[in-house]
Amino acid sequence: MTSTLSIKDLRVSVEGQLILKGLDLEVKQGEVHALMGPNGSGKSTLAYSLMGHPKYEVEGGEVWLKGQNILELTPDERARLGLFLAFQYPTVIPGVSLANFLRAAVNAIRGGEVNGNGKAQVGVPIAEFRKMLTEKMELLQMDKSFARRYLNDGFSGGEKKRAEILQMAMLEPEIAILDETDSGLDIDALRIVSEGVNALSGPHMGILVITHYQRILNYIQPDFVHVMINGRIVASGGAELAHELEAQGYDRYLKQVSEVSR
Amino acid sequence: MAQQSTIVKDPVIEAGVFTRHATLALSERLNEPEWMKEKRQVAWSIFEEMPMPTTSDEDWRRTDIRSLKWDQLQLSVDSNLSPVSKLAELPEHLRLALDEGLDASGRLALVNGQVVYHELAEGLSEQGVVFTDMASAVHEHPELVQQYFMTECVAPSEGKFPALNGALWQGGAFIYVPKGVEVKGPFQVVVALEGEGAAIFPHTLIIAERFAKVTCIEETVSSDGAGQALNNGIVEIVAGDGAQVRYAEVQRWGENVFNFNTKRAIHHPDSLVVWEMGQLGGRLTKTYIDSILRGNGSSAELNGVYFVGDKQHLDLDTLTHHIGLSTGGDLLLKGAARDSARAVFQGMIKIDPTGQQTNSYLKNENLLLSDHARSDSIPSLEIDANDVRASHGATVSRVDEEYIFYLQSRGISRNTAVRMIVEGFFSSVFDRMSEERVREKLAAAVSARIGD
Repeated sequence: MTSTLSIKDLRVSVEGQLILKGLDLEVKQGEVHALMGPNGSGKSTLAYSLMGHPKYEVEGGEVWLKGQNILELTPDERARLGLFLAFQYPTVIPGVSLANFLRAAVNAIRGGEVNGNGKAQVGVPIAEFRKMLTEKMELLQMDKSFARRYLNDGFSGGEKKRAEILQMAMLEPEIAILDETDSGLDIDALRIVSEGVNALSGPHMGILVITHYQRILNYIQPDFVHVMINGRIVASGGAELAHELEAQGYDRYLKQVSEVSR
Repeated sequence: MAQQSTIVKDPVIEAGVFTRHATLALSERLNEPEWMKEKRQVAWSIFEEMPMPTTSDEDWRRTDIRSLKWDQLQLSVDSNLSPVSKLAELPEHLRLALDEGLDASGRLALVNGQVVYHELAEGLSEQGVVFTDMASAVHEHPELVQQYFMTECVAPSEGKFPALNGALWQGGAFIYVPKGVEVKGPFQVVVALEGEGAAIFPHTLIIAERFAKVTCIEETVSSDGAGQALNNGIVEIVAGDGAQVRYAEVQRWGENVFNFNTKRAIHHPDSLVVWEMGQLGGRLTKTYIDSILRGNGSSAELNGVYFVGDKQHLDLDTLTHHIGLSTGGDLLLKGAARDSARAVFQGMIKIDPTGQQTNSYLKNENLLLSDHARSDSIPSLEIDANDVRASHGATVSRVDEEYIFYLQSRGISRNTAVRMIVEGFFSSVFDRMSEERVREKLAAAVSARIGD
């Protein structure tokens, strides 16, 4: 059965201010969606709310995945259900190596958490895990030494983004949200990251690419493009919509919104 | 107006358990030579004259010891363990503490001050290396003990607890490494407290001559007693010219133990003393760790972790005293407190006018794992020289919610996320520890504490 992330009338506030004002969107496994919008339109708020960051207050609406309203679940339960978020600004965690972190995450997702002495009770055998890690790191052209480094500690912007996609590759989510994954990447890094995403995408993964610019969509071909303005989706279409936005900008949509609110 | 005089009663003297008579009886029982008997008597007299520290003393401001019931303690509770000649014959908890299965240059097990096991690797005696218990050293190496025991390192007059140890010491290790000798494997010592109301006063003395090299790993354990128990210990280290001494301590007393310690190293020129420390147990701990950098070019390092929970109270005082020219200090301590535990750290870097070209660093970081846990970190600097580099840093913080969210977003449960973050917090200290067995033991102990 195909999983669908189904967002219905989602309203979210941050520090008392309403940011998402009734957002509807469906992303099915196997589809690639692009969500585009100017700064401040609420794109990142959507990403964080879907993953369950405590700072974002859900005021109304529902988000369904595999028969569950995920707004009632903790972030780790959402992840275990098959949701993934590649962060725009990944957190630096001192003292936790990328490899140990990934092993804990892989075991958590595949059933069987890591217990007190660091040994997995159930989950992926260590040899299989290492093999998988080596393969995925090669795919993303990451040096082996990254596995031993502390999570995102001292990583450059591009390295952090690659590490995010590496996590996505290891966890094999059903629905992945890429929040401004293209920001801060030079053209080579953008190509490597995009190729990585393309290699992973397929009938088993639905992807929501959140971006300000059309640039990343030269590499990752979307099936659907949505325009987000002021907390709502104001237009949806095919890949051609992205090209139109690139040429004409968001002005037309911004005017519409201000006329409606008048 | 009526004249008022307040006589502050000494709780130890009041209790009548530890007395001059007990001190004499101990000398008698150990068949001690006159000079050691004399040392004990002098220490006892100093003890009698000194007031018990209270929270009005700056050092003790955050540590109140009035809950210690001196009248419920006993000196020399007999252990039901008789001495054994093979390591395999020791009970499991002592064998674990001695890292059975790993190479060691020697092992010593002390239960309630009595030696229950002793071994020394072949060939070391021939090189003049001594590794024995303190009481045996008094008989076998009187000239060394007379020269170094509470003379230039820790003096009885320094405090109530050092004085009491000087009067009632029993057990502890004695290590002597002659000029140029490098002892390869570590000496391993376990100090155990057993039985209700037991009180021990271990005294360890390590003398490393010119260019000698030695490592000592000490672990402390106790049986779960219902009543209070007491450990009042001293460690004296004398590092000769160019000598290198590593002293590691894994402190895992039960939660009924009141734990007082004075540990100090005297540095001769170009010597290095590394303290590695894990403080995990004890009801109340007050430990001083002092590095007296007297010799030019000498340096001190400390890599320490502590983890307290329930109602534990831990108070650590470090002193890095730069007297010689071009000396170095590098202290890193990290601690976590949970439940309603309290950790206190007071660290002093003191640089004398003679201590030009000093490089001294002190860093203390604390993590609070519950709303009721408390941590105070008080580093200070006293600098009387103008060509020095010295810095200190102290932090007290909670586990960052952003860290937890990030790990949770990858499917890791909140509990596991917190454990990983706390383990990660400590790892920079473990990374600096040179003895793998100490590092592993402490890492495992810390993990176990986060989980329970």
